[in-house]
Amino acid sequence: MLELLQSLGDGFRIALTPTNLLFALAGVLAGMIIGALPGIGTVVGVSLLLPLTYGMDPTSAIIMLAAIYYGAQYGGTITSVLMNLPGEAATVATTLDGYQMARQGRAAKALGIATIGSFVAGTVGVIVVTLLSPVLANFALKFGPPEYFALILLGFTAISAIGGSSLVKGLTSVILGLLISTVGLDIMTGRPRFTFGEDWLLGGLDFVVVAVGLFGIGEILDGMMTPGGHPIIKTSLSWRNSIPSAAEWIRSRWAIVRGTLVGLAIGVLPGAGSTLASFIAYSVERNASKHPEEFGKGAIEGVAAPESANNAASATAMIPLLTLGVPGSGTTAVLLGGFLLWGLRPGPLLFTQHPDFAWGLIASMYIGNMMLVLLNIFAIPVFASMLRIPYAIQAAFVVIFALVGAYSISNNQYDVLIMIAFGLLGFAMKRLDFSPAGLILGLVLGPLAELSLRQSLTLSRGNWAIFFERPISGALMVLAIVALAWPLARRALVQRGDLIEADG
Amino acid sequence: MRVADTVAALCVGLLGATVIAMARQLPYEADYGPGPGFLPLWLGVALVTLSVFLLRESRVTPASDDAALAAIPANQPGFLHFGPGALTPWLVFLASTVIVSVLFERLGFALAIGLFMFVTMRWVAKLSWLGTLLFTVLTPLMLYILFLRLLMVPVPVGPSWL
Repeated sequence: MLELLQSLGDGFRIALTPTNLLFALAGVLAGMIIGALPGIGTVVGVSLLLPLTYGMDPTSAIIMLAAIYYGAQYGGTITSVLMNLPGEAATVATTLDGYQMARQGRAAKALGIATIGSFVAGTVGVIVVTLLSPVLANFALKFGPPEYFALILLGFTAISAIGGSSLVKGLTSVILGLLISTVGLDIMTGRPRFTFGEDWLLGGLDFVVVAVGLFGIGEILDGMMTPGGHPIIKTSLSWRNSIPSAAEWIRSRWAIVRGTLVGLAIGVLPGAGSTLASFIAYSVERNASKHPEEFGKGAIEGVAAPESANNAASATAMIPLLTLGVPGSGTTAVLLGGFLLWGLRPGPLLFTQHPDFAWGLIASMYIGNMMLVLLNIFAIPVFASMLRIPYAIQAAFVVIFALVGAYSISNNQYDVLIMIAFGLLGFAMKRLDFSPAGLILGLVLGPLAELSLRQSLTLSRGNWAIFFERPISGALMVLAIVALAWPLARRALVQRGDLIEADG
Repeated sequence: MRVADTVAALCVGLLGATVIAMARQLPYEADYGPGPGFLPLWLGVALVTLSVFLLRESRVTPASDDAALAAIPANQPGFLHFGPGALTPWLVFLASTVIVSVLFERLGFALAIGLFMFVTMRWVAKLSWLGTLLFTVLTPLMLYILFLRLLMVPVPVGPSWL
C-alpha cells in the first residue's frame, strides 16, 4: 500500500508539471468542444487529435488524450441536455430526462447534477483504477461469451424504463435496432447481410449516423410543428442555479452512488463500456425510485444515474487497457494505437517498465476530473444560454452539425442520406410514441449480443443451458429474466387490482 | 392517432415478413453453430408477432375526435397536427434539409451551407434581409475555420471552380 501511494505521489509530481497541466487543460477544453459538436464524438475526437501528439513526449501526449476523453464525455452531455442530441451512445440515456429538464427551465440544474455526478463517479473510478486494477482485471477475464450475453440481456431490460408508455412499442424499437445492427458483413462468417449488393453497406450503419438523424433531425422536425419550437421555460442563468437544491440533492445522491457502482462494474469489462452502464444505471434507478412515473418527464435522478455510470465506466475502461492491453471501448482502442505508436506495450509489465508513464496518466486522471468540474460549474450558464437563441436558428445549426458529423465519419454522401432517412424515422417514431432510445439500445448492443450468443451456442454445441450452468452468467440471466418479467407481472397485477376495484 | 398507429403496426408486420423472407436465404446453421441467418430470422418473427400486439393496441386506443384533436398541442400526440402558422415553415425547413443533404457533396460544404442558411433564416426564422445575409456569409466562414482549420474534419469541397 505504501509502495502504491509512493508511486501515485511520483505520478502526481509528473502530472503537476506546468507543461503537463497545460496539456491536461488543453485536452479537457478541446474534448468539451469536440464532445459538444453533434456527430463528432469521443472516438472521432481522440482519433483526430492523435496525430497532433506524435512529436510530443509520450507521457504528456497520453495525459492530453485522456483529458480529451473525459472532456468529450462531458461535452456529449451538454448537447444531450440542451438539444436532445447525444454526441455518443453513452449519453443517449441522459437525453431522456435531461432534455425534459431543459424544457422545464432546469437546463442548468441538469448540467449541474451531471457535472457533480460525473465528478464523483470519475474520481471514485480513478481511485478504483489506482487500488484495484489487478483484481478487477482478473474479474474481467472471467467473462466469456455466455456472461457477456447474459449481461447484455440485462442491459436490454432497460427497455421497461426507457420504452415510454407502451412496452410493445418499446420492444419493437429494440428489435428494430437489433435488426439494423445486422446490416453489413456477418461478424463470424464474413457473409453480407441486408446489403442489397451495395459495397458501402458492407461495414454496417454507423451509430453516429443513426443517432444524429434519429434524435437531432427527428427532434427538430417534431419541435418545429409548434410555432417557435418546443416551449422552453426561461429562467435565470446564474451559476448558482446549476447547483442542486437540498431536495434535489437528496433525490440524486443515491442515484449517483448506484450509477457509480454500476459504471465501475461494467466499465471494466472489455467491449461492454459506458453505453451499457448508462442504460442499466437508468433502469436500476427507475426501479429503485419512489417516483418512477416521473422518469422521462424530467426526473433529476434520470440524469444523475446514467451520467455517473458512464463516467465511472470511462475510468474503469482504462483498467483492461493498462493491465491487460485490451481496449474496453472504442476510444481506449484509439488510445491503445497511441501507446503502440509511442513504443509502449500496455499490459502487466507497463507499471514496472514505464512507471512514469502509467502513474503519470493515473494522476492526471484525478487532475482532469477536478479541472472538468471547475470549468463546468462556471461554464454552465454560457451553455444554458444557448436555449435563448430562437428555435429556428438552433434547428438550422443542428442540421449543419449533423450533416458535417455524418459526412466526416467516412467521407461518404450515403451516410448523409442515411442520417436524413433516420431523421424522418425518428420524427415518425416520436409522433407515434415509439422509443428512439430503444432503437439505439438495440443498435449499439446488437453486434456484441449476436457475437456472444453465437459463440456461446458454438461452445455448447447448441445447448442453451450454457447460459445457466456457469455461475456468473446464470446469476445475470436470472436477474435479466426477473427484470424483463417484472413490468409485465406488475401490469397484470395492477389490471387485476383495477378489475377487483371495478367489481367492488 | 388510431389510423397512424394501425398503419405503423402494418408497416412493422410487413417489415418483419420481408426480413423473414430475406433471412431464409441465409444459412440458419453453420458447421460450428448458429449461422448468419439465425438472428435475423428470429428478429423477423419477433417483428411480425409484435405487429399483432401493436394492431391490438391501436384498436384499444380511443380514436381522436375532432374536438379532442383541436385541444391537443402540436407537440403532443396527434400524428401530423401543426400549431397555427407552423405548417409552411415546417415544409420549407424539411424541403431545404432534404435538398441540402442530397446536394451536400455535389455543391460542397460552403455553398450548401450558405444556401441552406439563406433559405432557413429568411423563410423559417423570418429574419430581415440583413440578418439573413449575415448568417448566409458568416456561418460557412466560421464553420470552415472550425472544422477544416482547427479540427481538420474532412468536408466536401464541391466543384473545382469554387
